[in-house]
Amino acid sequence: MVDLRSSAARLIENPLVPIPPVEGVVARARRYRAARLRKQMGVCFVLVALALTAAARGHDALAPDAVRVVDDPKAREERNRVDAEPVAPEEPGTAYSWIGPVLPRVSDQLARPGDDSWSKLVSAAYCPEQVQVVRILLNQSPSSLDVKPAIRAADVAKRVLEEADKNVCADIVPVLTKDRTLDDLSAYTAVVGMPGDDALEEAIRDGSIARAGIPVIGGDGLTLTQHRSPWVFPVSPSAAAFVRIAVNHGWTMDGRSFALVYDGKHAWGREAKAAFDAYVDRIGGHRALTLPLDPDTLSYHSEADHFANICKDSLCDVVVLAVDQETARRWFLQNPVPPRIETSALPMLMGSQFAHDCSVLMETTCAGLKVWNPFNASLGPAMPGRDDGVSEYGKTVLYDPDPFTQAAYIAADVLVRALKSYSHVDPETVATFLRRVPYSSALVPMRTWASPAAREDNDVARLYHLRPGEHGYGWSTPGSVAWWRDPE
Amino acid sequence: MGVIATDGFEDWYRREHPRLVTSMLLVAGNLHLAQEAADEAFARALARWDRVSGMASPNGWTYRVALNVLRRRGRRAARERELLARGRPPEQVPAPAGEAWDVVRRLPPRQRTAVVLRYVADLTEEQVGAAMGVSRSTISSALADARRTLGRLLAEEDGKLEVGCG
Repeated sequence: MVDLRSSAARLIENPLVPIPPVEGVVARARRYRAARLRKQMGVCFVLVALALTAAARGHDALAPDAVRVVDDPKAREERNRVDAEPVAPEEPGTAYSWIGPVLPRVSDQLARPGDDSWSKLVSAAYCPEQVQVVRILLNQSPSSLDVKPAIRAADVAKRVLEEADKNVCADIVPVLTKDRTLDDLSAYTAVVGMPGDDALEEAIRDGSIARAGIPVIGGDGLTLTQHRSPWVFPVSPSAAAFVRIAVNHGWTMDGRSFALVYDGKHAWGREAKAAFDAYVDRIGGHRALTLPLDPDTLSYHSEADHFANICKDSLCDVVVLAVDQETARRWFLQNPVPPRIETSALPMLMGSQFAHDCSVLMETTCAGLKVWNPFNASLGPAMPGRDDGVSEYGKTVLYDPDPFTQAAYIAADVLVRALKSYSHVDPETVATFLRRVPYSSALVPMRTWASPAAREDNDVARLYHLRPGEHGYGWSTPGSVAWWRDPE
Repeated sequence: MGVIATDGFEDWYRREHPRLVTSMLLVAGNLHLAQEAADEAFARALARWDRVSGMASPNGWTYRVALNVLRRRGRRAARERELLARGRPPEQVPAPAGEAWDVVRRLPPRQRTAVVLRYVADLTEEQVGAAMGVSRSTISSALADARRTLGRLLAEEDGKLEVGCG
């Protein structure tokens, strides 16, 4: 067999011409620079002449069409394009091994909407004339997201805010609907967004939030809309960022063939697909399959068959799941064929209930499932961060690593810091503070919203594994934990 | 004109010069053109060394410049040859490189460039794409086509030979 590499090595070891001395290269480089400088000065002369001419004619000398860009930005970008090498993770944090449901869940005492307890909870949130914040809560909407985590999350946010400051009153608003327009909310200082709130998403998308000038903190952060609005301060990366992190991780594990199972109904699912397609192509991987699941469908039998046809016999190296818990449950019940290397999911699956369901109903299928979490879910009996200024209530809640609750807690904590920074607060002050001052705590690496570029630094996550443990199945980490950054 | 920053340049230059010249020779088939392209690419790299040295892939950038120089000057050289009405044969690759290189030079230009940058210059597929101004998937396809073509060409010459890319 003829080996091209060996042939190349022999050719290089016997150079065809001697290597010119470096002094010659220096001289040539100087001539090249001089020629460039002359060319640029010539161009400047032409531009100055044009500007003077334009001024003489009464035109704005700085008008864009009076100045032409000399260098082609696209060509410059091409020249400087870096490799799409796998991105190494950052330094690992403190090692820990187990996070699981150690204490009873707070959510057990909360009721569904329509229940008497729920009514009491809402009516108890009536706020007199004080500094107020608004929480927008997912109500019984057609969304597939389980409403119970959202209720729990809202309660967490309320308690954190009211623990922090007696002057703060947190009003749980059932849902932002046409019956309660943004004009009605003018008395409120800020919004702590809840996961999966379609109405809030629409209000951001159509510009209502920006026109009202009310800062929105938190929400699930899944859609790019939430990351692009200067009035929205997400604490969690987008679905698109998670998908790229997952693919990048799979690539470093020598995965080259990728499949995506995603929520085909919601915008964040479609954005996940677009990001998946673009990034796998960019790194030269193989897009084995992108499979949309309708969260309103009760069974995925035919989808699982199609998946099996494509990914059987370990043809798919890595599977990325961009679906919510309920959809994931129905998907795993179909016992999909496992990939060769790993299945990793967006943080919505990182709940104790899902872990329990997997162990009871789908143990074989769920074995080895991994999930990405943008927060430090390590608050437990012997874990770091216990004494780092996290409120007692926060510590209690965070023993159950539900990402919705974590996000709500962090969003509320972010807002608390903003509120405590001023004697008088209004939406503008809160927004200005959030844009100026980064947030960090034991719960999350630094979050900053200073600029669109700075926001990209927020896109980091850690990988957790679903494993059996002392208290049943739960989420754990294999020793030291590294933060993986969005490679784009 | 400013000081030319040279930190780290000389070592890199000495290490990469033979490989760049060899690569350009195998792309262009002309030693003088290959030398000129390499010299110009290294000079431009040095003129911008403070920026080039910080890139993830200085080699990729330099090969791109060399290919561009080759393209421009190769067109002029081709016109000159036409005017002379009698072209010179390509520079012969020394025998130690093996018969495979004679076959590689018979590949279509795009495939040949991709193969040379990948297996002689030792660039990654992404770097090859950047140097040639095409996407990585295009390079993957070109390399796959090249391997198929090489296998066929070698089979025509000697039915026992197979091609491996190491």
